[in-house]
Amino acid sequence: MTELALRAEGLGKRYRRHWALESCDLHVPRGHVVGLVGPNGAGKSTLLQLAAGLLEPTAGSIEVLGAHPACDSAQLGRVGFVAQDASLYAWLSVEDHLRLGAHCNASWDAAAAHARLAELGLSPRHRAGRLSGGQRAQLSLTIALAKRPDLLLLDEPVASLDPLARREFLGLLMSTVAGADVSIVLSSHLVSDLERVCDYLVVLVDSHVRVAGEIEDLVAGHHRLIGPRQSGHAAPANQTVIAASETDRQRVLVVRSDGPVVEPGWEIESVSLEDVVLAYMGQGAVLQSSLPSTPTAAP
Amino acid sequence: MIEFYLDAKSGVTPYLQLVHQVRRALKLGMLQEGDQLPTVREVVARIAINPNTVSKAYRELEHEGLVAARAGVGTFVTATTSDEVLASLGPLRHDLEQWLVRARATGLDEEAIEALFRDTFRAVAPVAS
Amino acid sequence: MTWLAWRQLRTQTLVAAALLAALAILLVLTGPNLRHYADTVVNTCTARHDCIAVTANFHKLAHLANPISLLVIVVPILLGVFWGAPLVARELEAGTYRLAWTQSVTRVRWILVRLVAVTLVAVAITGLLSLVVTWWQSPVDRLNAGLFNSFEARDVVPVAYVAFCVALGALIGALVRRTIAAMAATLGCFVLVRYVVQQYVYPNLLAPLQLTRHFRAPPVNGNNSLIKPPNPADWVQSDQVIAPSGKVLGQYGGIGPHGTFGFNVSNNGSAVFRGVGRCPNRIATPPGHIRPQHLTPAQAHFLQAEIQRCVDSFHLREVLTYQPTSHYWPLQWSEAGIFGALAVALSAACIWWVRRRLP
Repeated sequence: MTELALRAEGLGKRYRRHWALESCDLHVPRGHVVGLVGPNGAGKSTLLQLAAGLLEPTAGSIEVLGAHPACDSAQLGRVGFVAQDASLYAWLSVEDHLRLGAHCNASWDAAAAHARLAELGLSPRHRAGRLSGGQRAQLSLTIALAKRPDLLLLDEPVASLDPLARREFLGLLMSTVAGADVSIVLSSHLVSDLERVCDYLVVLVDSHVRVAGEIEDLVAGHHRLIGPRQSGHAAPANQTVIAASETDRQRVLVVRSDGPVVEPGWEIESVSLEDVVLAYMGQGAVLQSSLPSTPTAAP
Repeated sequence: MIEFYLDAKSGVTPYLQLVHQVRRALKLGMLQEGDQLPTVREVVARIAINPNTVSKAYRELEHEGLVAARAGVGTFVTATTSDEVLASLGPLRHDLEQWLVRARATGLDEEAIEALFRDTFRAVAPVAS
Repeated sequence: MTWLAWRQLRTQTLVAAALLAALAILLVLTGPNLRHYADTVVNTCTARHDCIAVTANFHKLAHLANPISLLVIVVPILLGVFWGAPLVARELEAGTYRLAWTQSVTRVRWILVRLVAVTLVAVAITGLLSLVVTWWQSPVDRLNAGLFNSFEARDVVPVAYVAFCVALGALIGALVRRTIAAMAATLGCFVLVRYVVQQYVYPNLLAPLQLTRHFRAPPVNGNNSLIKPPNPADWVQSDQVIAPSGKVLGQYGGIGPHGTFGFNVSNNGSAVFRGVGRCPNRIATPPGHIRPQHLTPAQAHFLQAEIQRCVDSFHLREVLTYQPTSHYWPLQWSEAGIFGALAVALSAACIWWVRRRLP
């Protein structure tokens, strides 16, 4: 298992004048549940569609499981995609959607698909257009999983689902990961969901990748520093400031620690994953304020 | 069969939460020797967390000697609290309940009771057995 | 993939087939009667001298002729617009391409199979329609000597039109990405292409034949007699009056800007052939008393000879240009070939666009 799940080098995608994605470098290893997080319009959907072969890059390159996306039938068979708002044929029944998958995919586990639908209580004869949002997402996921992909891409699959449907969907997803050797890339703007299910995170803000890495490493490698608000008070040396805020008495920094944290004069706290993500998401705003040490972009 | 849950706000890393829940269950006698822990798949289907988290927790428990994995079958509890310890739990719980009633009767609020307990707990060193 | 292509095509195919079957039954039931009437009554009408009545009766029987010819013209356009245009456009509009293109089927295979499936069904429907209608119409066409009259609604040409229209619709749908707009654009483009081919390509497809004779003045009493084509069903493309220099002076027996034939005769008999020149001879007055609207046969004959002498001096030619009936099938295949080739080219362009440029 030496190939990467996803490799991007200088990847960019432009629509007319606007760069939806720019200068993306990613080396995502296999065997992880990867969370792709960022505000709306950051480029998450674009990145996933590029990985699924639905879009072609404008600049740079992307490789998925060691090959160009959608280059041939075999490669398509290894990658599953669940679109935002679960693109399904409204006039086609649930059963017919499974037949579609069976006829359009070389490897297809019909028994598992039917079993899963039975578990979910989806009637085979219902037209997809009459299902609820949660049911459509589950059907979409079932179709994508039944072809036993090595990589599964999900574009905000739970964005429009109620909390129960969301929990069921993610539960189904996780039990699949438990049972099989599959990598998952899942985008969301809800950090709490990602914290539960992901072990690797990519933060996308303003069409750029801000940070990417294993969640454990990210949480261990970032800290919150609290110090007095004095103009002369030196900011720490081997720490990269990601975000800063001030009250009338205190300055609070979120830093990425490139080395061990030894900072007299600063109180050191650990951060939660949500804090890390928020710090990177707010980076654009921080760059406007003046700070002694200038924040730099993602690794 | 133990049912796991995740407290997202507790600040404790998820796998440790699972480990603590198993330990607690053992201590309270809710898990006995030979009981099977739910499979990784069952756990994640129910509470939607990363399977690695569960695997890690089970490995930690195995490392502590509390459970053992049997290939192809599942993970089973090996250690157990001794019967005498279990037997003493009942009276201890009873005493604690009475103490709580008295504490509340004096007018202490929840936070104060908890603080009192914690303080005393830390101050009194364990008796060498 | 063939399963999906068929499943997406199923309903519309069944509806079209049902409609076709209904029409076919109607035509098959009425056809033999029509033929029988034509063979027995109409063919013997000259002997009984009741041709006008019999022909009128026949046309009453064949009152469906115009509507169903119109149907054969309209069906290829309808299929192209309603089956071709949404082929790619609807998937893009509804977002279902995100499901279709992430199965194990490459885009090329997806569009190729669907395009071939739709084209085959459209061609089959149109082919059967054309077959049944051509068969039913043949006695009518024979009677009207109208072999070429409904050229685009008979035999193989409609089949080529539908293949072209479907491919055109598919390509426009892929370019425009909106179903309704694509449907309208397909209709517009089809009409435009047909017009261009008709005007500029068609006349040069297969060289017509020509019949030439010296120009005859129309009779004084009576109707113009132009060159008749060998077969009344031949398609007359033009009948021109040509001067020795090669200049075209007029059409269908008429000369000059108003397309008339006539002389300006002065009192002393000198005449000017309108649009051509002065007669070298004088037009003498016929003998006897002349009542202008009621010439005697002798007077008419005399005048005719004088006029003909003038006309002959200018050495004008009448040239009839026509496509003989023997050219019917070569022309059918040529037209079908053009539109068939266009269909293939547009299909290839559509496939290329889907592969390389979408979304």
